[in-house]
Formats: sequence, structure tokens, C-alpha cells
Amino acid sequence: MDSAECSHELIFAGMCAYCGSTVLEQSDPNDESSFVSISHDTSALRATRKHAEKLHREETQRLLSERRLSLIVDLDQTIVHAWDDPAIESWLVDEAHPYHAASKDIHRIVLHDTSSRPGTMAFLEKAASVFELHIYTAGSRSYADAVAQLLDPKGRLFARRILSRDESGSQRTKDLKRLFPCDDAMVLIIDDRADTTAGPVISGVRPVPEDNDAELDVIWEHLSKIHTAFYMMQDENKDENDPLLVKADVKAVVNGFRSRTLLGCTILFSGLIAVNESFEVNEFWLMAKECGANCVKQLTPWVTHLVAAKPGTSKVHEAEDQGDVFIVAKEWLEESFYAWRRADERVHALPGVEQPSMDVEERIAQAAAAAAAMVRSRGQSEEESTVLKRTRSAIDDEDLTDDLLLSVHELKRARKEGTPLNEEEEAELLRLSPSSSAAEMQEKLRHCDWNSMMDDVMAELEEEGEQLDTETEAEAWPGDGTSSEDEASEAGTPVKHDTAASLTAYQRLEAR
Amino acid sequence: MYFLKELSHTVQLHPMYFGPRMHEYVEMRLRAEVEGSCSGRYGYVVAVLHLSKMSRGRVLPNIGLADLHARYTAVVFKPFKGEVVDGIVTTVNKMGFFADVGPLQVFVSTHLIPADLNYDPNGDQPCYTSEDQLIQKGSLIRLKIVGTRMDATEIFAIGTIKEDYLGVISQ
Repeated sequence: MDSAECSHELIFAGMCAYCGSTVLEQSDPNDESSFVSISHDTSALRATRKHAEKLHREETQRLLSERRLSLIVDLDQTIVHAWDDPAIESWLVDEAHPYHAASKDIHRIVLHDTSSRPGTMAFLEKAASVFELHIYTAGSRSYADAVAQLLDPKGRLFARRILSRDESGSQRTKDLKRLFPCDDAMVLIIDDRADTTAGPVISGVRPVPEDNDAELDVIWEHLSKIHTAFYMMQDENKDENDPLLVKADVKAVVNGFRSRTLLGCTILFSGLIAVNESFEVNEFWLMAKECGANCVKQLTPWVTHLVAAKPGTSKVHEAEDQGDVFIVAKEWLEESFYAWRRADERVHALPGVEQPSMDVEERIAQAAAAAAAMVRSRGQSEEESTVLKRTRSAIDDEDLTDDLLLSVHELKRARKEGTPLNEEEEAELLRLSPSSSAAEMQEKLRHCDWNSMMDDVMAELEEEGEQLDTETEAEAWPGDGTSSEDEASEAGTPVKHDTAASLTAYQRLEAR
Repeated sequence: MYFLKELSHTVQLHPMYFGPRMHEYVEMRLRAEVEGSCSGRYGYVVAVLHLSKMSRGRVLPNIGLADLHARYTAVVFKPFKGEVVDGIVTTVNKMGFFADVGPLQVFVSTHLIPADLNYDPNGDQPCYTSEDQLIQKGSLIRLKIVGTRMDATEIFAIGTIKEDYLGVISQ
């Protein structure tokens, strides 16, 4: 091909892969003609953003037609555990050694002793049936290859989809964009650390394998749920003209599942967030938020759980005095977060602290009712509703997001209790947003949006046959149906969600 | 293309080797240091044929090591645009395939693969197939170089098999 006519879409080590002429790379990474890496095993092969998008589209279409998703697997501390210990050699060699039986999952590779998490092979086999597996590790290339060789000698599971730090471009952090430069709507990650992976979807794993380690079973359960939900969402929203257009998003699916974990719980923290630290970036705060809990900074009557680092803090005493707050250690939150199931408060109770004697479910319902009662008491005489008052004061304090979310949550519960706010009041709430920008407001309500959807789904399942007006719920908030779409279009992706349709998808899934 | 080329190299020798078999040792060190190395100018040094001249050693002040300057004849490999070479396929992906031509890594993109060869990602390993050809990892391939890039220590090339008599070499 003539160099002058060539589009130079794909370059290998600075040469156009089509015409062989030298290509200068754009230094501006945002430029449309800048190059992005597109291959796992070499960073020398790069394509223009436009070409990468085309390749990506083909790839997603293939995955969709095979009804699969991409799954990025981290190695260390996630599915394998590597270390260097001469003592272990004796376990391996000496058949009479008491640990010999326990060492059957331990393999030697150059430099390290490696043990896979129990059930790893079965897990990978299962996962490979509905996911396309990728390895993304912060280890070196040779290490990644050695482990892959161990886990997958025939190269059927991972093929060559292995990315190590040698090709990643960064030693410490993993960038999802390196593997999926265009769109991550079909990508899931299993990693032990959420902080090194700059990706939106993380199925967290506890790092250290325990004795009867069922972590991978839990993850598999989650993965298959996500897979089913994703394709239900996809089928519901399928574009008749172009059935291979991605219409669902695993991020939304995962948020949807996880945000139900601690639904209705209101959580206060003690001793876990440093005084000078901002709440919004604290890992526990975010974890609780992701699980769908309300987080508060002060003890209120509807606080259900106090997550405390140690007994004896003033918040612990206050909570004890209040008598209806479950005081738990941080492991409670972590376990709930990882298992997508509210962990047992009795198991993770903070030692030496008096716990309420009532049932947890009962308490959560009661707290919700308490919040609802506050809302109901509005409108008497000339007084403003408590929700509005709270919202106003929150705006005055510029402490908007959390209190506002709480208010909105209360509002929704109140609506469920049968005393809906009138339209003016809802409009007032929206108007009170300081910038009055609908888009920002939607962003703030986004989290709630999922909660309410899940609420509806659950309620409908419980009260099968009974009339529950989901449509009012969905329509009451003008932002509800469109927020995720806005987000998607901002990111420049073709992803579109229809909340109503995905709702039915969840209902069907839950009904199984 | 392969060339015979007269090159020179300086070997540093520890005083412990100053003795009867010094030249033998220098030759060994020379081979170890230059064979397999690459320079942008001459390409890869494939093999040292013989040492033509070795200077007298010069002891470096302060450290006691000796510098020996050697002139030698070597087989060098330098790829050129338009050259037809044989290689072994190492990686196949949907963008094309990589082949090793000795120490040289060549990439052949789908653009430069005949249209009747189609990418097949399924199966044990990804491959390009047509009615009479199969390109997968390990296949022997004859390709034509369409572009090269010399780094200080490495050479890369782009290849094509979209011409007559190029492609899989049947055995």
C-alpha cells in the first residue's frame, strides 16, 4: 500500500503495520488519532482510538453472540498465593511429613512456591464457560506465564490473554483502559485490592485463604448472577435493528446487587475515619454506601448499626445508651460487602459492648418507620416538613450529598408507608439543590435510584398479587429513568439503559 | 540479509587471566559479549568467525584491569525492506501475527494477509485458515519485509504475505 494513502491505523514499534512507514505518535493522549495499546502481551502493537473502537466492537459482538462476558482475574492473593519458604520444600518432598497432604495444591515454580486457592481449577473451568478470562497481574511477565502454565497447561482458559506489569505501563496500578480502552460495560474484575485497580467493577476477594475457604464459591455465585442479569437486561433492551448492540452494563448490574446488601441500614462510624479525613473518600464509608446503607456522621434515632474500631469511644457509649443500635466491628461491614449479604451482627459484635436484644430485621424496619414517621409529621400547622428542613440545613452546611440522600431515602420510605409527598414538595426538594442543575441532582440521586428499584422488586415479590404502584415510583423522580443514560453518553459509550425494562429483568431473576 | 563484516570490540580483562591462555580467554569473552548483540547500524551479530587482530593489553590506571582491543570478522544479520525471509510464527491474534526471523521480530497485520485466510479465535489456539493454508503458533512462514525500524539495541519489522509465493512453507 502507498504510504500517502495509508491511514496508519495500526502501528508496531513505531511503524505502520499496513504500509511499513515510520509513524510519529501524537503526544496528546486525548487526540482522536493518538494510539492506544490493544494487545495483552506486547505494548509495541498500538492502534488509533478509532481503530481500537472498531476492534472492540467486533470483540463485543462476538462475546454477545456467544453470550459471554469478560472477566479479569488477578493472580496474587486472589486465586494463587506465592511465597518463598524453604520449610515448605520439606512438606512437598517428605511424604511422612504431617503437612504433606495439605501441600497437594502447592506447586513450585522458579523463584516462588505457589499455592492456588482451594477449588481454583474448578472455579476457572466453570468461569470459562460463560466468561472470557484475562489475567492482569502486577507480577512480572515470566511469573504470570509460569502461573498461567500451572493453572492452564493447555492454554484453553486464558489463551494468551495475559497482561503483566511489564506491558502494563505502570508498576503499581492497573489500568482497565489498558485492556479495554473503549468501553467496560461487559468487564468484571476479581481482585483482592480495590485500590490498585482503576476500574469500576470489582468483586472483592479476601486476600488470605482461610482453612475452609469458600471464597471462590461465593464469587462464582455472584458471577453467575451477574451474568444472568446482564443478559436478561440485554435481552429486554435489545435493539431489533442491531441485536448485537450492547444495551446493558455490568456496572449497573453489580451496583444493583450490591446496593441491596445493607438496604435500610443507617450506619455510623466510630474510630475508623480519621478526624482530618474527608468522609466521602473513606474506604469504610464508601463500602457502606456501595452496599446501599445510609451513612451518617452523628447518632440519630434511626441509626441501626455503629461500626466501631474499639469499645469505649464516646459514640459507642452514646449508642449503648440509645439501646437500639447494633455495635459491630469493621469485619461485619467487610463481610457484608464481600458476600453481598448482611453479615450476622451477633458474630461480629464488638466485644464487651451491650447489644440491643431485639431482632435485627425488626430494628431496621423500625428505624425506617421512625424515619417515615418524621416525614409524616410534616405539614402540621405552618411548619415545614422535617425532610425539607433537613435538606435546607444540609444545604446551608454544604454537607449536601449524604444528608440529602438520607432525606430522599426517608422520602421514598414515606411514600411507601402511604403518605406520599405532594408534587410541589418534591419539586421543592429538587429545586433546593444549590446549583439547581438537574444533572447534578440526578447524579446525587443515582445511588438512591437503584435502591428504590430494588426495593420495588423485593416488595413486589413479597406481596405477589397485591397492587403496588411501581410506576408512580419510577415516574415520581424525573431523573430516575435517565440518569444512567446521561452518564453513558457523557462517557461517549453507546450504552443505554432502560430502567423499567431492567426492572423486569430483575424481577424475573429474583423469581427464579 | 547476512553479511561478513569486520568489527572491533574492547574486552576488559581481570589480572587473574594475565597468563599463558590469555588469548583463548579473550576470544571466549568476545563471543559471549558480542554474539547476539544488536546495533542499529550493522544489525544482529550472529556469530564471530575469527579474530583477525588483537592489540596488546593496556593496563588501566587505578583498577588494574587490562583493555584489549580485538578486531574480528562476524556474520551479521540486517533486514532490508523488500527482502524475503523465512520465520517461525510465535503469536497469532486478530490484528495479525508475529513471527521470529532469527532474532528479528516481524509483525504481519491482517491487512497484509491474503483475504482468503480468515482469523479463527476458537479452537485450541488462535489461527488463520484458508482451504489450503493454516497459520498458527509454530508454523513456518515465508514473508517479505515492508518496513524496518532500528533501535539502538533492537530491530523491528513489518512483513507481508500478500504476494505470490509467500505464506506457509509446506514441509
